[in-house]
Amino acid sequence: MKALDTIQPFIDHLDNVFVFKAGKIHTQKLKAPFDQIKVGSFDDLTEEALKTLKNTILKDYEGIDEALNASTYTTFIQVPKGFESDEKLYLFFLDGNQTEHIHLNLGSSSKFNVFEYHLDDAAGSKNILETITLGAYAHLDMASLSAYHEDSKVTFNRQGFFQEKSDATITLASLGDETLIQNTHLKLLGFQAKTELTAIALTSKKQISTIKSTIEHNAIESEGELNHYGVANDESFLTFEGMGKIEKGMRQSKNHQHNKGVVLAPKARLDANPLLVIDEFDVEAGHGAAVGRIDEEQLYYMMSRGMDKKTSERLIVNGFLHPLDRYLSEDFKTHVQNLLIQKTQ
Amino acid sequence: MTTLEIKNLHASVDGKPILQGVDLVIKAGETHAIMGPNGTGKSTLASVIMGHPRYEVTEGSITLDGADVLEMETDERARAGLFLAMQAPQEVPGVTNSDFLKTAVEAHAEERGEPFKIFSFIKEYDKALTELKMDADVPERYLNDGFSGGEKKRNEILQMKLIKPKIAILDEIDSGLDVDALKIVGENVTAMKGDGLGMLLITHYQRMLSYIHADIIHVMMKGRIVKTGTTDLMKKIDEQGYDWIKEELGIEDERVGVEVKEPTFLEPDSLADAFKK
Repeated sequence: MKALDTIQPFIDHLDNVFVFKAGKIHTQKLKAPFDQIKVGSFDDLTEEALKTLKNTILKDYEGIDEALNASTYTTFIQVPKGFESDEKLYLFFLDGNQTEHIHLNLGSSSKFNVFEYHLDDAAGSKNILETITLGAYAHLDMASLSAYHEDSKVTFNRQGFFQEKSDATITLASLGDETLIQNTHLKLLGFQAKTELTAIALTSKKQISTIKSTIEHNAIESEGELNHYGVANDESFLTFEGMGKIEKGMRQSKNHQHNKGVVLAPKARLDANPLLVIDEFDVEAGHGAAVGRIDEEQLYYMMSRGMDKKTSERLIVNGFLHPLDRYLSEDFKTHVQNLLIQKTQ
Repeated sequence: MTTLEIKNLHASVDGKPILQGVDLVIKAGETHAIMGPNGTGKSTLASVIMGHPRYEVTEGSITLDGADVLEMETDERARAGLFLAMQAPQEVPGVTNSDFLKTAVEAHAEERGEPFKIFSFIKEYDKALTELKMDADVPERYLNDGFSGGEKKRNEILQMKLIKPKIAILDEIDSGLDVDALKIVGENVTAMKGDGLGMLLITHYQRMLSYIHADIIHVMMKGRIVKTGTTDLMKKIDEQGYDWIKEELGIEDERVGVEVKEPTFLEPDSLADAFKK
């Protein structure tokens, strides 16, 4: 099924939506106040704006020039200062075979909810660079789902830059069959900046996925929480590499990391390598990892109520997706359920 | 009429024999109670009937209306009409109570070849919550996750009300319940007896039996049913404990599968009187 056909039923129900097909705006629907949000390519930005971007929020972005030059397509999303809505903006990316650069920029004191869905029509090599910047006091609630073709090779490089007292909850879920490298590096740059990053991955068949997430504390009293949830099936290999990094002098910072994983098949493999790099004494930090087979007692309990082993396992595995629940509307839930069923059979 | 028949059942865990020849017949509408001190095999019997993977049946048979229960997987036993309210219900974070129960009830409907009716399910669920005086947010909470002991036990009975088994085993359903909760659970369970439900109550106190009347009382020791009677037997146990039964049957240690450890060193306290004479 073509990616556009997959998402079309959802788009009809949505008020605020963009569909980007191979980097170009394919569908656009915006209702107030979302009509204040500016979306365009980097070409749409003034020379001055681009220069400012490069000298400020993008200055820490490693290889920005290469990224911009290599990007076949760039999408710049500017949420204006003080923007506030409890509604969501839906962004669908039907990725082609190229480098895509997405830049999401939240103006100070804005409150923004966004839901991204990345998928593709045909197998290929995809490279997605995404920067997320939050101005002071900005608040972001973001979910990003991806489901790519089995023969695709996909690299996500996400970087986040958070200013003073900004707060971002970011949930990333990889539900496709692609070979995946997902790097996420969030930098807490402003006083009391805060983030909660959750990465969920389901792997099956001979898929190899590496999920690398880093929260870097470059500010006093910054808080980071990192969660990895994984399910590995068949002969797949899933790796989580989580890092909490607190720089010297960033006192009263907090960093916590949790890894939870289930291995469904004897040949499947799931590694979780949590790491803490701390250069300051006055901090609170910790990490934990629990990876193994499905708990036999839980399985027995559920089966004793009449559901077969497969269904019980699926319900338990489904539980790993619960951080996603609040982002999903009913029709999306069904869609995600179906992806899950395919992956865990 | 539904009949659960257990014949000469022997079972072991990790190679250690626990059940050593249990005979028991439970018919629709009957309520049996198995009493006995701790460690005599009561809960093992419940787990073996339900098919817990840790237990191995070495001899004997269990049939439900003639069908071989031991040949069935745990979920097949449940769909055949068996239900076990567990002593320590599992917590499953990430799975909501409503999703869990809906899936279970759906599986039972499918087994019976009936359509699953979501609206009557929701209605029944709400009704059961009210009858068990449980919080309205229970359906959205994760399965037993963070539930108090009492809440977990009520949740077992709630599941039983919606699943509507033919034969229900209640394993120490009274533990962790205060008197008020015990009364509520008792009323709800008693109400189900009217529908021809056969029941097996497992307990070591007779406390629960004043809320759920049992027709037949069994006493279990050393992995066997050693005595069967009616209310009189229960009263005698209540007044005199189990020692008279042990004496009558010549049992020294009523427990099974418990290794009696020989003291490997002399207790210093045992020397306290050594020099007095």
